[in-house]
Amino acid sequence: MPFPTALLAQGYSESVMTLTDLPEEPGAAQVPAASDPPAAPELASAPVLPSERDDRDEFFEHDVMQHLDALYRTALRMTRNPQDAEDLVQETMLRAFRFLDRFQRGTNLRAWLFKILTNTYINRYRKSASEPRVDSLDDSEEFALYHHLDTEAASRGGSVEAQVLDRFAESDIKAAIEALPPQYRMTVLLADVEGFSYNDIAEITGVKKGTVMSRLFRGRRLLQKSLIDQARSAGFAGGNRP
Amino acid sequence: MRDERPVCAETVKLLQEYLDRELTTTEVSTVQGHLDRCPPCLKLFRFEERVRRLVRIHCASDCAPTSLREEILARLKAARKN
Repeated sequence: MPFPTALLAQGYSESVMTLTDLPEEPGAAQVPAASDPPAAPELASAPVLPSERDDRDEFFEHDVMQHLDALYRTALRMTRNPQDAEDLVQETMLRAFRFLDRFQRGTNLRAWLFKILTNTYINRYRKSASEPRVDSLDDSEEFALYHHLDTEAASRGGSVEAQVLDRFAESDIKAAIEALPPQYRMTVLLADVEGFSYNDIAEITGVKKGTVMSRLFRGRRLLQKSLIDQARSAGFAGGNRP
Repeated sequence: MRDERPVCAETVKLLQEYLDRELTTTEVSTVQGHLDRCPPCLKLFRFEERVRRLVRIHCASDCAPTSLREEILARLKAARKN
């Protein structure tokens, strides 16, 4: 069977996808093992022949595994800990392998894998994963970082906001991301780092597109607030210090 | 000269979707038309784009450890035998 790798290579630009709903709990539904006899031979469910099994293994090792880095870096930001990230990715990959027959080839494999990752994360971190506490966010501060740095640059008689941005170290950015509540963090990572479309993110995280947009909006504002705080304490953005 | 301020407000409302490439071609040209005429809006858009890029660059740099890759493949091999 020819496999349209060109489609997968397009990654996030492909918005149409068919994600099979995954069970909430791992193991709730079992894909028949390769050696199981077909339940009803007269139906279309043919036994898995050795060549199909080889094909499936090859698909996993070549196509699925190439998304390992992306899954890992997302898991790392979500768990904030390398060991937990490895555990999360391992479980994700094992589930992906178990449910591989449900993946419709030619659809968006990356999105399918991220959906499994998200579900697995929620199962593991159910308590913290749903924490919505961002009520303290001041809605008036829409482009807080920009206005803060711009005002400052103007007071110094120059336009240095870009240089100030470049002074953020990798660890500052990661810390600001990791400080976001999980739902916002996942949404921002899927959009800004992984480049998924709103529709894909809605499918991956199981919410409406409008919710994706508002999570992105608020998540990015929270991120900027956190960057301002870091810039102030590092001393390269003075601003309203006492 | 035309008052661009109402247009600024409309354009800024579209900033997120513009930078996320979620607008239609027509909407994109409307936004770009305004940005060509309005340096303050352009500056804001560029800034916001830079922040996104910083996030992307710094968060995309981590790679999975080789040991993780090997362990996953080993566990799958074991799972297949059972």
